[in-house]
Amino acid sequence: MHFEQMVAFWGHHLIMVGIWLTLTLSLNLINGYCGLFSLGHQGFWAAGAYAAAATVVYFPHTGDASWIGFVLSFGVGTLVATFFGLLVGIPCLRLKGDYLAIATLGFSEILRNVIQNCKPLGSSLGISVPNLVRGAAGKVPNYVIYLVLSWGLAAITVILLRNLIRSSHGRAIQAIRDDERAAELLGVNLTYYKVLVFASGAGIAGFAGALFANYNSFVTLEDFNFNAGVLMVVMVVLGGMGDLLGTFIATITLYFIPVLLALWLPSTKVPVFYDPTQGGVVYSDIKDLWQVLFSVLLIVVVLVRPQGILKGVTFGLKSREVAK
Amino acid sequence: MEMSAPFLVAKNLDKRFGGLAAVTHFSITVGAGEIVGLIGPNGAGKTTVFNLLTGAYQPDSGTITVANVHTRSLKPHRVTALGVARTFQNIRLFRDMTVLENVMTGFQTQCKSSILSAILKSRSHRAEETRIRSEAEKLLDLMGLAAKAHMVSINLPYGDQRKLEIARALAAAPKVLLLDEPAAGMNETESESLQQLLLDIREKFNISLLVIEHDMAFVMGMVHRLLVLDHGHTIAEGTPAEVRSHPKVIEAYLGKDYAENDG
Repeated sequence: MHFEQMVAFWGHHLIMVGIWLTLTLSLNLINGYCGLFSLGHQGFWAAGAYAAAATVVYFPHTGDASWIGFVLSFGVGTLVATFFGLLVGIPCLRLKGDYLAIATLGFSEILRNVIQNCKPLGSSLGISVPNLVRGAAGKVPNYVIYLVLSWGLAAITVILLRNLIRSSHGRAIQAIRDDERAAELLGVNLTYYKVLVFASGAGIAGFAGALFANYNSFVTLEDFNFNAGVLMVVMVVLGGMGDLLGTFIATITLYFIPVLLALWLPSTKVPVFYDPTQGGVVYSDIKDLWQVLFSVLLIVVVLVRPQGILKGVTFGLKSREVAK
Repeated sequence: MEMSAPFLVAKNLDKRFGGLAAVTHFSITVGAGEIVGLIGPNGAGKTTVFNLLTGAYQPDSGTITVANVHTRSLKPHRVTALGVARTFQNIRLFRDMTVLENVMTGFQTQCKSSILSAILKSRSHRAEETRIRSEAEKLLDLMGLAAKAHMVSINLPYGDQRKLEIARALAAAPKVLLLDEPAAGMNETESESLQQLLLDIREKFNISLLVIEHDMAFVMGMVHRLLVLDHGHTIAEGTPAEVRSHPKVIEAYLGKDYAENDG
């Protein structure tokens, strides 16, 4: 590949992985630290992305007004996603485990369905987002701006999450995960914290959605489908529920596996099954099989080491995350 | 010891689960500094009473007041804030947290700093965290658990887990501490030392204790007053001496076993 192509390629993926980090960190707040099984995080991401896209598309912009539209789209995206976080969190207060997973997944799919039937939002075709950044920042290439935004967002999320977890509120949230009845009898307001966790997680995902919409210049329903949701949950589980460093490593690793497979082994085939009618062993491209690989890995992890592969593993960097 | 205005007053509590009357016409008062025992055969409704008093269950009828506040419609976390804390029959620690974190969580009702100040690590928040940490360490010291502060709580031996649960409940600054079979699974030495610990706690923190127990030696040796429950009804109430010789009680529960142990 030529140099510019390489830069564009890696630049794109670095920006995207920063967005995915923000998503898995915010999901970790709900699933890992509070112990609520949310399978609909992609819905909050979608809400933020579509709300931001609509803001940019329908906001009157000529010349200098472009920055306002850009910044506004982030605010709108975050608010709309937070609203949905409340909308989902409140009725789900008494749901546990599988039921909560189904309810949150239901929300995400319903939202996608609503968007699909909504012409102004592009329905199945997706919505094109005008690039408002280009006009104002002529000297700095777009991808540098988005790289800073993407990783800046991830870094801020880590810091805020870390500070929250190491506080009394963080202990309350983790107490809900460990034993919510006992937590309640020690003065933890379950309703308050569960709704808080859903709303915050959703809001952060919404901000990441706004970033995605503006960066990608195109938002389509397929970006937020069930596969995306499962991938997020797999990253959180494999990295260790409630383990920020583990989530960080798992997200980057799992994001890049399909990317690198397509890059380095584009034509490598593996035997998949045996079918005499098709001439014997049937092969498939390895780059298409990563989802199967992840599913198998997830099953193995849940059976053998449910706390996650990387939970508690610190590589000698720090002591166990505690409420210091 | 004086009986000032009773801190916890329950009157005529009823609780049914479907067709089963778990608790019927139950009344109790616990005054400042009192140690009250609640005994009775298994299934008599003692834990149900605890759940009613802490707000985990809503009574079908009757009233409960804690510090003169009616608690019947309050959620459990509000009842705790009024000054009621409890330990559980089958220990319910926060398994993934360390010993110290468990106790620090108990201070929840006294945490005033907002989420925003926590996220921004404001000075007031850090000061509060330092104070909570040192108070928690003092409680662990009192329980003899200071050396194990950073152990994950489920790795503690059984007796220490019980003591940790008590320390955590004390962190909630209760005026009444409800203990559900605190001596369960302990041998004689351990339960004697727990008995002494509870008496010391009562002195030091000036709180009342309401204790459910099956270990007669344990409970008789420390309470001022006893209530005996059978099938959800109170069948006797009085000092240990009065209850011990009450015919209904002997018939329902104590019977031969106690006569044999009585020195």
